[in-house]
Amino acid sequence: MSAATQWFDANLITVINGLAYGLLLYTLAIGLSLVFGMLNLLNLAHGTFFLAGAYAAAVLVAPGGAWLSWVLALSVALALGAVAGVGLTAVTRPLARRGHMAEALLTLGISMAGSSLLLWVFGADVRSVPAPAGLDGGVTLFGDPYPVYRLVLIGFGLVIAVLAEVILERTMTGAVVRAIVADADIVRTLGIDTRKILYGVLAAGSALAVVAGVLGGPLLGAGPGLDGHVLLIALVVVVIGGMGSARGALIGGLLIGQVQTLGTALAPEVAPFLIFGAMALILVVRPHGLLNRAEATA
Amino acid sequence: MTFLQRTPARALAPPLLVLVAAAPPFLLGPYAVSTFTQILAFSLMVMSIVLLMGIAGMPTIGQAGFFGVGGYATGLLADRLTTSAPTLLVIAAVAGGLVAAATGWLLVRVKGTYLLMLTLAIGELLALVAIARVTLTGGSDGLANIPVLTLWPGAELRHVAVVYWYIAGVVLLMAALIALIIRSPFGRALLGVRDNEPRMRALGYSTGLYKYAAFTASGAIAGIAGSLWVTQTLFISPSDMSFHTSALALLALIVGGSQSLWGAVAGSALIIVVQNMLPISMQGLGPFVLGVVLVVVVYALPDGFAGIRNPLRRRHAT
Repeated sequence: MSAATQWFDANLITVINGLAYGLLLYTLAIGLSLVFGMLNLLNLAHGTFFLAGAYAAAVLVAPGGAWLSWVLALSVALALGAVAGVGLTAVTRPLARRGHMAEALLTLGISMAGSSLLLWVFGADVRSVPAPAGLDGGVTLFGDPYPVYRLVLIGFGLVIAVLAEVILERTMTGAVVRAIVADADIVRTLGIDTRKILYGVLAAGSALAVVAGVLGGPLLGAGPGLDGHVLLIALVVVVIGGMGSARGALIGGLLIGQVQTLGTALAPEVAPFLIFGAMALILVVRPHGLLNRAEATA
Repeated sequence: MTFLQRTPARALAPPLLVLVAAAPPFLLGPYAVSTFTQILAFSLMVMSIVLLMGIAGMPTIGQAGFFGVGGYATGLLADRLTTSAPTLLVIAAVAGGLVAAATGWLLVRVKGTYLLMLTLAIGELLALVAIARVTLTGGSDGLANIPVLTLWPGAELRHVAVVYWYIAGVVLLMAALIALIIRSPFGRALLGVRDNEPRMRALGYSTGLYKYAAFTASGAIAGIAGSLWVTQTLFISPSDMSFHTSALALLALIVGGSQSLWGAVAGSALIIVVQNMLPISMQGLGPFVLGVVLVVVVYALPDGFAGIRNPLRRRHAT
């Protein structure tokens, strides 16, 4: 047995944890990345969306984790996120002529006001979210007990990844989305109505952020400060993967998921710095992320 | 108004400014004076963003990181090295500048909102250092028990008025220095980089080097601001260098107008007053009020309050 296999055996559970976490990060980050890539809109309220989802889960999911309450929480999250996304387009549109900085500042104002309201409504205590009934147990995985819910997260993340891949790579709409990321002006010149698609992507991306908050509930809970933390990690994921690239968000999410879980398990002292180290390293080699062909412009 | 008539008024401005700046301890109670002191210390961090964002065109939301570096350097060394405030101030400036120099090379190649994101990451990373090195920094609880600093051996910065005069003096000097930098050839070149970087490069300027220098200088100034902050509060914690604090500093800049040093003071005043003066029943809603203010300002006042005062005042490189 080689040293590598031995190491892998010892850390397999951690690697699978990292996979679950990484796919959750991907679900969170894909909207941020696409919106930035298409509109150059840096949504600093993205973490607030996530936290709103986590609180929605904390409030709506019944103590036993009944399935119906989970379905309710997810539906509310989808609706909330879609409305928030469309709302965001509506409020940033008048600022479009003033440049992307003004838009980013607006979302900063929204996030400050939003997190303050959440704190005011839900208090400062961290709330927990029960996993869905029947999925809160463990299964035997490679001879060790393993929480089922994390496997569900992995499944869900993979579904999202496949869907995103199919939509973006195999449909006309997806082609337009990718074209807008590459050069929005040219797409408009071709006579394609970009507005509907922008609304759609913002709604879908924001909805996914809120849904990620619901799904992350059993892992991370819901409490003040989570919004900023999550925003930051999502930004790192997006920077690593490359703005506007769904595949980049997937690679970035998986990478950061591994770096964080393995780092916490193997070197807890330096774990917090590892994600930034990874980001700095990748930026030195690829200033615009791993999978970004476009230039980052002001 | 001819040139001749304007000269005497111009010459009178600095002494008048010093007089006005020195007045508060004579007119106000101790609580108001210490609030003024905080406003001035905070405003110096905002001025460092004026230099970076308003002049060099590099948006940042990580400035609190360098503010914290200066603050922690001051707090940690006050215990171990010297309580001399001016000495610690210089050390804080060097520390802030060095950390900015160590991180700034990542930033010179990117622009706009992308740059905003990277500065956010750098600022948070610095806050993480403060949280993680618990034995040295006290972790999340922050650094308490910082001894009272001295102006010179025996002259303690203890009395509210004395602390105010010291900090007001340093901030005035630094503001004058920043104004000089902005008017210098270096500052003019930065304006050129902000408005049209490719053109400046075509003219033979090493624009990356200019931006790097601006980032380093701005980190050093933020470090001084952190040192002043600690001189007054005798306390610093990771939350003082977090995203939240950077966001507040950026808000102060936007409210005051991104190219105005006066605006930096006015914007800081708004933030400190809202943070400190909200009735207890609304205590948690400080950020809510400030968030709403930010939204309103972004919509209604493209140049912040400085834009109201004189809509024709636009600085452009000539």
